[in-house]
Amino acid sequence: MTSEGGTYITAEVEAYIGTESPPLVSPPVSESEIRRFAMAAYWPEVPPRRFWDAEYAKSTRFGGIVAPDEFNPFGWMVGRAHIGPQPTHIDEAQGELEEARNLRPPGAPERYLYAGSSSEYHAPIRPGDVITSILKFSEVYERQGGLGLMLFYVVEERMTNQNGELVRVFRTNNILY
Amino acid sequence: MTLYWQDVEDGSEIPEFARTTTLMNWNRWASVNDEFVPMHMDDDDARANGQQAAFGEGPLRYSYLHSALREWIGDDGDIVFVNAQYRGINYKGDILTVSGRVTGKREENGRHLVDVDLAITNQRGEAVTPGNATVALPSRG
Repeated sequence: MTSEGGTYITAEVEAYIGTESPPLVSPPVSESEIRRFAMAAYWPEVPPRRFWDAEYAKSTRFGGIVAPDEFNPFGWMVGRAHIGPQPTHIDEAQGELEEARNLRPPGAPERYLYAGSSSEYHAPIRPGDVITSILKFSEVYERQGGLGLMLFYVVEERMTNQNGELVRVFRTNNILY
Repeated sequence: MTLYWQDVEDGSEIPEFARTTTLMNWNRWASVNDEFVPMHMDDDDARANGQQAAFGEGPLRYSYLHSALREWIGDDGDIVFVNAQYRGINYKGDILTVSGRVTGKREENGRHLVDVDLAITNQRGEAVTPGNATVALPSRG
């Protein structure tokens, strides 16, 4: 339901712009999870050696293994990133974690489309890195389309490493209608 | 072999990168991206949600764009920026092909950059993931 005046962008939604999620901090990234990520991403062909062959990676300008740019250091976080009392079941913990990180404009329609994403890459991720992610509800606008009035919003994720270096800025473009 | 900025011509095509996608790709991706969504694994669940059958994850297609860029630029180039829009659905057995065309070259803050338009097209010729990217390459001399 739109408010009076036919807009989803109410004062409450305006006030929501800039809202941030609690930080999510990864366990130290391991060589093995980098290798597995690369194998899955390139399946069934062999990924570039710098992602899985430590000897070869030493000979590159990186001087060691690095992760694929789009590597996700936040898989299987339950048990480390729970919010509140420790749940007894992993699926509950997963649900709580996802809920805490789900920045949606208040009062918006329910139907959702994941429209696209963009990434800016900075420092590479290496084994041993501890990555912190903070999400921000950064932008909102609306348009009339084939599905009626649609609310577009952008969530910006900033990843930094244990040295405070910027690793990645990942923006998702989302639609509610 | 190193790809140098000077060797890239405006308007040239990047090498194609293709994958035939099935549950073998999607389930591996779900595992490493912690993306266990029933619609990506189970035809019945997907049909209950209005799709024809189980379908592949958008972020895997996003990863394919990156892999295509890496196959082109090798170990000495960096991906600076990638942008993609998710349009069509990726069903089992679809052959997804990433293609790209150089749209410009520029120098910025001492980096030698190349801009590329990207597309993922399936075997029916449908453009399922248009996008664009910027890479940084080493410069000769």
